[in-house]
Amino acid sequence: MPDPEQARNPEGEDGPLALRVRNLTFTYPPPSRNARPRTALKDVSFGIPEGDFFCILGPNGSGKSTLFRVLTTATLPPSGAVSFFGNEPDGRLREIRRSLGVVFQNPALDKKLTVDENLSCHGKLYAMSAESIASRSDEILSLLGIAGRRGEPVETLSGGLARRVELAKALLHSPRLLLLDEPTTGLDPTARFEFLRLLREIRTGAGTTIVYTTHILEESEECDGILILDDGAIVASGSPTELRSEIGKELIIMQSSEPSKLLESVKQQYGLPVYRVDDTVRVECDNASALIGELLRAYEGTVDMVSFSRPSIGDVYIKKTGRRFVTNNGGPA
Amino acid sequence: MNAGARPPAPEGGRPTVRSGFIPGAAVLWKRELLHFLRQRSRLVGFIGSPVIFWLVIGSGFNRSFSYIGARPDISYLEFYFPGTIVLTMLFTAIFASISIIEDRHSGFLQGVLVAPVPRISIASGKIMGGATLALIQAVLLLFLVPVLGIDMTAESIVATLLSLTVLAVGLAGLGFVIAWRMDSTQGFHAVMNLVLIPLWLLSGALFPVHGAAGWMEKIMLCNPLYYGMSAFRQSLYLGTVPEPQEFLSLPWNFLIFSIFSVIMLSLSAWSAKTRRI
Repeated sequence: MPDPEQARNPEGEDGPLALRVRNLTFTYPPPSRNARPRTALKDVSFGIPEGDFFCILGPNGSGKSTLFRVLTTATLPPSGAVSFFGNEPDGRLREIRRSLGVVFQNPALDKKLTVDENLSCHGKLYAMSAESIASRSDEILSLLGIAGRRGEPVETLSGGLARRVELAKALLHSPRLLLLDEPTTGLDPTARFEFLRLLREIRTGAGTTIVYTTHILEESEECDGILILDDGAIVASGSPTELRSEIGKELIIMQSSEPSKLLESVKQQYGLPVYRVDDTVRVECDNASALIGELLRAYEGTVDMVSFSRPSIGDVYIKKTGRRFVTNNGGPA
Repeated sequence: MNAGARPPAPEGGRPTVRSGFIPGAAVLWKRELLHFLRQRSRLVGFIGSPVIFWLVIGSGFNRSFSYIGARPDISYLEFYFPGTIVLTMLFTAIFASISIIEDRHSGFLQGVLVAPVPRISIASGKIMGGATLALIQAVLLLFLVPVLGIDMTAESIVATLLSLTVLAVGLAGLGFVIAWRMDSTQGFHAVMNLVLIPLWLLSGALFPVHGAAGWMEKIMLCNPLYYGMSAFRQSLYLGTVPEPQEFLSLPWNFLIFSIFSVIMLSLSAWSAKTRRI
């Protein structure tokens, strides 16, 4: 695997990085005396260039949330592990916090207060003046299409609208880096798509670096950079194109009742990258249309089903971990 | 949104402690008041139940009460009145503390904790919010004073307001210290029944320290709330003869409870600083 930092940022140390994480290991203290401490992150290193639309992808329990807490400064790591725009939290914590906009997975809005009151409360916490709170609120609420609801208590808004208010709040103080933890949780597919479209628009308009976590594969396909976490470690990182190119152009997936036998045979006969996941054998190739027929003829009776796909981020995950990417619903993605 | 929308760079390097402290605390304080105004049932609940207690218990014991060393004509209704006000304040402070646990659960608090405000201003805003609400309710109840026939002078009004202020801050601070480290409101209810209500029961609110059994008198003298309660009772009757008999004089009672309040504020600031999110 190429060095994750180099892959995303050829200029290395001197490039303008919004975020830089170096050898971050995070261990939770044991919950009881007899229990073992749990290591949530293992030697994680990466960099996110300024202006990126960056996705941290991982199944539940992969360490995403711990990483997110560290990136928001909610949990402070050992010194030197994380820097924001070249600054480390030691001694400059407040300055760094002012440059971050955070959208947590749990809504951080006060439901009893109106949209405007929530924004004003947030603005004051970020030391904004009343005038700038008012002008920024106008700007952001109309950008997000919720200007008409500003006088209503948040508890009367739908989930999708409340999510937008959450986003408005995080953007109010014009952060340089916007961090979102599974921002589309609880939204239906249309609202989810719309929310991500808005984020991209914000990135384009204001040049804000955006980093979001997700456990939904489709949400990682259209970003500039992806970091795939599994069991606390980085399994892959790079742009979606880079990652997909690690797999051949095309992918043939064969289902078989004797997958190991099939695997060995295909490996010897064709010399292509072949690996097994559960009862399927995956063959990376550049000419699937020709190869599929050949394979079917050669393994007639052994292959129960065959399919073809262009590599997706899910396939990258499968290749790196040997497992399917399991979503929240428990089904394979 | 324009591309130039960037946060103002902090001038001259590191932000000072001043930046964000006052506005941070003030906005959280204001939020407490807004919450209270949106939930009027709270007002009815916190004033209503102590007042009903006062009327029932006060009238029930009314004639069968004598208060050693006090005016012979004092009724239990009158004696129990300051205790009722302190109970109202305790309820308000307790509720304000429970709201910290709720803020933690709802997620509101995590947003505040990653904001560029010192933790001490978060604690201050919460405590001052709770204390203000407690004080407002106490003052509303003070309008019953003429009904009881207590003649208040300018002097006694000032002393009463000062005593109520330290009581409000001390109780809100105590609630904050307990609630900040708690994860469940159920746990807080247990603490309330085991610690906070007994503190009030043994504060001289229900019966005077001089009439209690010897062992109980000793416990009461160890209870910080006794000194706050006494300061308030003495302030209410400041200048009238004879003054209510308490273990210490008004200035001492006031001083002791003020020290308690300062300790609670310091503990709150320390707790807020040390707990991870």
